[in-house]
Amino acid sequence: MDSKRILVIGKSKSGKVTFVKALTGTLPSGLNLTSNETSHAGLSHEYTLKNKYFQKEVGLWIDEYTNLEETLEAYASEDAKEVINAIGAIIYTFRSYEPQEWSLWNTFSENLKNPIPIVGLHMDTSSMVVPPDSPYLEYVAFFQTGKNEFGEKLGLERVLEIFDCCEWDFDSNENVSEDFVLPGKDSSMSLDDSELNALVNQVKQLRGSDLDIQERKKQAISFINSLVDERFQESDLN
Amino acid sequence: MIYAIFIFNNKGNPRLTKFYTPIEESDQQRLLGEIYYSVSNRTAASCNFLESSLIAGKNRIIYRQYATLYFVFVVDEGESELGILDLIQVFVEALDRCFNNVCELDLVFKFQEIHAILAEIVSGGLVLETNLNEIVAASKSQMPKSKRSGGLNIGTTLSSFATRF
Repeated sequence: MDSKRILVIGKSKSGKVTFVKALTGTLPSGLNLTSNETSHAGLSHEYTLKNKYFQKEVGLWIDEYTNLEETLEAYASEDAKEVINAIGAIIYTFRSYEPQEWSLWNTFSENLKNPIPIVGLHMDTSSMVVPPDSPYLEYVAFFQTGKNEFGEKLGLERVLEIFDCCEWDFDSNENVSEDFVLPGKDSSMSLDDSELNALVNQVKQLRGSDLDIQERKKQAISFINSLVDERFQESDLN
Repeated sequence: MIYAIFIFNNKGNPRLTKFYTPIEESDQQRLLGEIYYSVSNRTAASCNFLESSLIAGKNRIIYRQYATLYFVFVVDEGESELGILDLIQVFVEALDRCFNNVCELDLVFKFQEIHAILAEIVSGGLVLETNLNEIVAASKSQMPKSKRSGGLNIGTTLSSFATRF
């Protein structure tokens, strides 16, 4: 599997495993079913994304936090850059809406170098909220079904629709060092128009001059020496 | 005259960009960002017409939102706003008929067909055809036979698209 992952993150008992079960049909391996107190952080699972254009094996990572601010600071740090680059979508599960957490997710998403779709998945069936509109974070009520009055899909179908349009392949350009400079892009090697015109004029003068052949050869060699770093000699042509 | 036609989703990702007037590439990117910012901040109760000066002096931005997609036409003052609004509906219905319940993925993976359908409607910034049946027939004749959709009931196609006013 060489595609990006879905990160499912939320507080303890926020519905992360419920979402994974609904999405994939199975529970993550390594899940401790005997205890309700075990943290779900570090679990992983596999999911096959299918639509009429492509099919992709996408991994699921499950993480749990107690302090969202600290967790998001860790994800935003330089050490976690590779982790962030490996994530194609983030599902933030919650039971009760907290404006401060919503705001933290907004700030986190704004500061990402490459935007990642983030879905705030409300897992509670008894209440609905209307969080402030955000271009970075989308609210989805998990237990809703069908479509709203605007024809937009609701619930898990909307989450699947978001997944269909995410970037799951790793961009090869992301791994290129920013210090890498292509040959010829260095400005010291580039010629501006005036330098090029001067060179062309020198060639024309040499060609049109009335000097004897030996003198023209000397001038040609000195002209070539001005272009190359090493001393050029006629014997180099043999 | 129509200066440009865009389709982008509610995250600002462009799904179709078509310019009918020469614009530098860097300006195209900036334009798209500004239009997305203008359109996405409007509520459902807002008017679908915006005055702007983003392209070639005074012009108008006319948009409609269908589910998570914005269809945006940038036109000059000579175009009728209601006419363009209706044209957007014709374009969307043509897409829906040609793709059998069109979705955002169709715009991503079938961009050539999308452009071919649009070319039946608008050419050189001028409206070419507004008859839906003519547009769909011309577009379907260009599509590969194996990918043509079957006969569609108008009632079921329109039920999949709701409009915001």
